[in-house]
Amino acid sequence: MNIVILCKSWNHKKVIEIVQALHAQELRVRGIIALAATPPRINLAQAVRKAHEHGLAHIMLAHFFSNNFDRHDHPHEFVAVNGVHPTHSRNGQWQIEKNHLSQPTIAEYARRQQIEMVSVRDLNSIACANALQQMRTDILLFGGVPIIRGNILTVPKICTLNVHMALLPEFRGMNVAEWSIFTGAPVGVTVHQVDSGVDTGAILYRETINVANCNSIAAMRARVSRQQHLVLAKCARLLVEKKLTLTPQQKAGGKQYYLMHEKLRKIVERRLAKGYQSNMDC
Amino acid sequence: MAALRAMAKQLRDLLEVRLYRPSHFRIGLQDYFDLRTPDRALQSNSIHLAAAIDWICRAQDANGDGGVAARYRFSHGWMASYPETTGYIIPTFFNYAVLMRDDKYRRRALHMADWLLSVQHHNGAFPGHDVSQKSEPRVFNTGQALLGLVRAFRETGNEIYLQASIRAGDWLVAMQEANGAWNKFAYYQRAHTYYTEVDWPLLELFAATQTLSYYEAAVKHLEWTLSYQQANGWIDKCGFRDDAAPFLHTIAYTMQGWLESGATLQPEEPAKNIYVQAALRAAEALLHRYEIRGFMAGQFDRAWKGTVAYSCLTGDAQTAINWLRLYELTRDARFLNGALKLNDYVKSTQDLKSNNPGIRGGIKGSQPIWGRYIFYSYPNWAAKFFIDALMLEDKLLREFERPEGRYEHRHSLQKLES
Repeated sequence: MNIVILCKSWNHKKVIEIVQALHAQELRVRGIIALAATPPRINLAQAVRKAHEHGLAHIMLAHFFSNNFDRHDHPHEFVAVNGVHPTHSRNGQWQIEKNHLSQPTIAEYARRQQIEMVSVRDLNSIACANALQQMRTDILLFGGVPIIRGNILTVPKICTLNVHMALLPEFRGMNVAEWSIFTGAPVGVTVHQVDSGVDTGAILYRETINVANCNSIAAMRARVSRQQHLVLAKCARLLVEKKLTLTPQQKAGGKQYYLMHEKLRKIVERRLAKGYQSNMDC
Repeated sequence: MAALRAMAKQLRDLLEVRLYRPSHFRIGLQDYFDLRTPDRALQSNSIHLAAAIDWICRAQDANGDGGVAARYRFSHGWMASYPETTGYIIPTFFNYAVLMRDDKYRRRALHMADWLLSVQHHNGAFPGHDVSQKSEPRVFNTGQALLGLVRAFRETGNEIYLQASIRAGDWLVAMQEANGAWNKFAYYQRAHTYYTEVDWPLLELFAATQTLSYYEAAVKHLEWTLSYQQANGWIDKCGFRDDAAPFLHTIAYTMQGWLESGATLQPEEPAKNIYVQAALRAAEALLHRYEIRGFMAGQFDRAWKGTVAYSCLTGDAQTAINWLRLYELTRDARFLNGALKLNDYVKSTQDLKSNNPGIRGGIKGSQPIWGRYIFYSYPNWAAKFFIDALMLEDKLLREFERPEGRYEHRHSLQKLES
């Protein structure tokens, strides 16, 4: 059984956790395909704008630490990608401390585990589809990717799976763990087949997660994130053993959510700090 | 030769908008590099709100007649007072007076209403342009003046405002076609769906007078507009002239007319009202487009694709109001979320420090300022909608400051056997 993971960056910690969870289920990863690092392309107007927004120091540090600056120019995203923590200094400029840089990158980890690695310039490209075919992919797993088109989704012989940070079909889209809390719903994870829509594929498995003891969004996301890798690996195992059935989603039953505004995030933070309990049984 | 002529024209245009003035040049430079205020440096809503209110106060004082100057133009400075927008600024000032518990804003609102009485035509209509030009009556402008007059009557009980409102309402009813549309005395002499924004004041007048003809005229027009909504939520005939890619400003007018009319007609269950649902269809399409792109274009085509690279700030503020109202009516938090982002965007374009009183606290027609909608100008209606949007945002967010019991949740989660 050939399992391949698709991810957007070679610096994505999430993928290592998925590989480890799969190993715990005695499943071996055949290969990892990730986006090749691209040099930043910023024109003068963009550079002035970025310096105005984040301060010149941030721009220089971001260039120094990241070769993906174009895609991860927000400090929070920068942290998520590189494992580098920004702090807010007195003058309001973002500063970045060097820590966690000793963690292995996916590439280092994959090399140690003898997992095949392929870099592509575009995850929807023919090169990516060819790489998947050469690896004779049976199951493709998403480890944090942008929108992936049909030409990639049709390559795996069994299916493409994604694990979603909320219960589907109710919460599709972005920041869905936060949206679950904002709307008073249970927090959970869903493993689903990937189709051409946004989180609309058939559901394999879903599970609620108790986040009552998570007193911040970061703690809650870490809790859900840990659980989702375990659940994804468990689903892959059950799929290999043909013990899972697909449940098509009722698209009308859910909504697509988007990036949550800071003011609403603060409301979510307050609810978590008080010990969040959902209104709903699930 | 043609290139030289084009360059000469560009130079003439730049001279005309007086970019050599330091305050104008600064705005031009900021917009060229898109140097809006970063999110982390935005002030609280109350500061942005107060700056916009002060700007409108200066616009009202600019002509000394009680009306509010239509806009501050880079080329000419303050323009003459504008009846249409002075009409709908009146409710904004009454609301702000209540919020701030300051009677001076109420007095200003009444001064505006008194000025409206002085420019009303004998037949009850209101003029189409600002008062510097001799202008024929206009349906839309009369509707907006009506909104202010009815509110002035509600606030004071003074019959003079009611009588003026009735004359305006009667004129609107008389001008309506048999099919419910307004062609005569309409902008470019053609029927527009964004005249739903006239239906709402007519329904307000009906509420004040219980005269059925106002209600019937409003509903007849609302029905006519519904027939122009497409399956994807798009609304035909909602532009001034360019129906292929109308401004967000008029799209938002149409939605607001539907929303407020629906909420007035069915106050007990507004979310189920057909006009509110029509607004919801358009609002959802617009929200999706905005969130995916991360930018609100100034003009849209029939597929809800943004057709321009500039943003219509007036339309942005109006859309924020519509989304906030939809959140209020449906409790769909995605609309609240989108509105917060749009409000932040407009806040990031507001200059709070300029020495130029025409710029400080005002809201541009377009971002950047040379965008097609009301270019190189600060229209009073942009500031008005911005104020309404911030006041509504604050009101809705205050709900979250109360001790929370059970959270609002409208999903019916189904158990899935795994």
